[in-house]
Amino acid sequence: MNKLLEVKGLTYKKNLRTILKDVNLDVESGKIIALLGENGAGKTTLMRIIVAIAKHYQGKVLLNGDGSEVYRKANIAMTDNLKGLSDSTKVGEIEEFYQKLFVDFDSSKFEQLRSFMKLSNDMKLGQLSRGMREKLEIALTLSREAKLYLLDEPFSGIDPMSRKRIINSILLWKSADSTIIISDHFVNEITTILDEVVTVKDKKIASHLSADDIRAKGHSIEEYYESLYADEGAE
Amino acid sequence: MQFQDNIPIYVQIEKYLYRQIALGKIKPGEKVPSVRQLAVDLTVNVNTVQRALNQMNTEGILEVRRGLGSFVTTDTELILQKRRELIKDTMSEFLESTAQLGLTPEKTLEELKKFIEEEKGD
Amino acid sequence: MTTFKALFNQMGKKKRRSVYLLALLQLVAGSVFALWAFFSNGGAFSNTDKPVAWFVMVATFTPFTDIAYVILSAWQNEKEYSSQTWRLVPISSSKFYLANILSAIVNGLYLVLIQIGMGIVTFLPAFLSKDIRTNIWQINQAFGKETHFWQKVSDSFPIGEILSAFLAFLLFAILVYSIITTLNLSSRTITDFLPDKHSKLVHFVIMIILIFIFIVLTNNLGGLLNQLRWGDTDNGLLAFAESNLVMALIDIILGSINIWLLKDFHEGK
Repeated sequence: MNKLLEVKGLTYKKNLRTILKDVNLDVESGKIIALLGENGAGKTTLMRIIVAIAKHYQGKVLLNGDGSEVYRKANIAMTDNLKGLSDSTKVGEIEEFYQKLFVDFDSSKFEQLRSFMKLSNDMKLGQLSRGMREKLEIALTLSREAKLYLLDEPFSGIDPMSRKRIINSILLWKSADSTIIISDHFVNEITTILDEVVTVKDKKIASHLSADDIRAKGHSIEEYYESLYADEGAE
Repeated sequence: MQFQDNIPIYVQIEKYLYRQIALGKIKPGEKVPSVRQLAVDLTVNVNTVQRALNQMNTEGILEVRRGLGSFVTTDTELILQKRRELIKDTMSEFLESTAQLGLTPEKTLEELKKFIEEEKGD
Repeated sequence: MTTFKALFNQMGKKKRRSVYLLALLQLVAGSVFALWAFFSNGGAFSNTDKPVAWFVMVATFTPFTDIAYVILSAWQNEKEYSSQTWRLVPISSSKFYLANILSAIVNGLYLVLIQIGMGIVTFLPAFLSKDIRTNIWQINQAFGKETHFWQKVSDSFPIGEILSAFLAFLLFAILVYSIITTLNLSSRTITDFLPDKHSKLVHFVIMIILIFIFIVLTNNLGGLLNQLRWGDTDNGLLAFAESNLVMALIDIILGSINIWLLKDFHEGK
């Protein structure tokens, strides 16, 4: 396993507020990692910085040792809210948009994901329910042959059955050397597929452990995550 | 299959496979499903399955052949031994839980006999 | 990595929609007015002029349509700079910026082409009128007698000046889009460095201040350039070259500022 992503001494401020402070994170290739933290802990910001969308930060972000923004964008697939496209855009047009703009986009993979998610090409973006929209975002992201996938709270609006199928397709299709980082503010049925758990708390990476190491100490991932916030009383 | 969340997944996968082998669902010399297939069937990570298989390879229960997959050992004695271990494990787990209910091993045996008789009567 | 061409095409696709929509609107609005004029007695057109009513009415809407296009395409440009969906595309900030502006201009030219086409089509009914046919025939005859026809044409429309004027138009179009982008990106960047309380109001105030600074700057710069004028300003070509050079320079300066803001500061949401 070699080092895929390296975040060194990352500090990010916006509107005079510090959102991330001296964050360090090393990620190896071929892993499935959960990024856990409360709402507003900075998970999305961290992902946006990794994929070079958020700017003007201090510190280094290297993918395979390369810090250039174009390289990072070309090799990292991040779920996107698709807000840049109008509500009248059809699913088929969005597929074409991705296929034309991302050379690693695999249309046949998208077709399979699209069909089991029951999305049809002539559905318009504005008509999709929250869950359907999230499915579309995941399908688009997973259809890219990236080195690193960043899924930002991908399952919140999706029913358990579909969640399971999405997880299965991840297991089926993930190439051996690509890494997936999934952020969430609670631990759900994804725990069994995790290699590692990274927690974000107080603007920093609070911990980075192997999932089975946590279990080896007799804790479930959920218990472990909740214990991080235990000293603060009820949420 | 349902996993317990406070025991390492790879340990549970090992146990699952041991049980399959001990019950004869996968026979000596037979090929174990591929890593990816197992990962999808059990909804676990490929790396975790690999770790479990590697562990079993070291113990000699499985034989990993490069490019072909993993095969169950033809050493039936080893399989029987593993089966005995599994039975032992189950027993000690059982005794542990009855001990928590305040039963001594002797008392547990008594209760168990009674229970089995009752079940037969039904 | 995404090619410039691929991004240019996708950005152009969105703008082409506005082009078709606006051209259609212009045609429909012009036609409705022409119909109204045609059937109203003693209205805008005398009986002899009625055959050209369609052409005149559709042509009248041209400037409004073009202005509407500039507004729509500029809005689309700014939307793409601020959108994560677009900014995730693996391409350098400079190519992203150029693809956006050029796609806006190319589609603007496309709109003009469509408008010329509409002009020709709407003029066709005029051939139904005998008067107009005679007129056209007479003009044709007059041209036919003229032995140095093309000489005359190139005298009244010198090719060098036409090209310079076209270049000036392009540079001006780039300037308009660049100014809007500079105002938008710089005001948003400044807002990001201020507390996020009342951020909308803060952004608005900053925008006003920037526009004010911009106007003052343009005034002073204009005065300065007037003093610096060199050469024979009576020579049309030279005057064109001079103003084109200045405009190109400003385009490059604003463009560099915009690319810098895109690369290092402005984030897509």
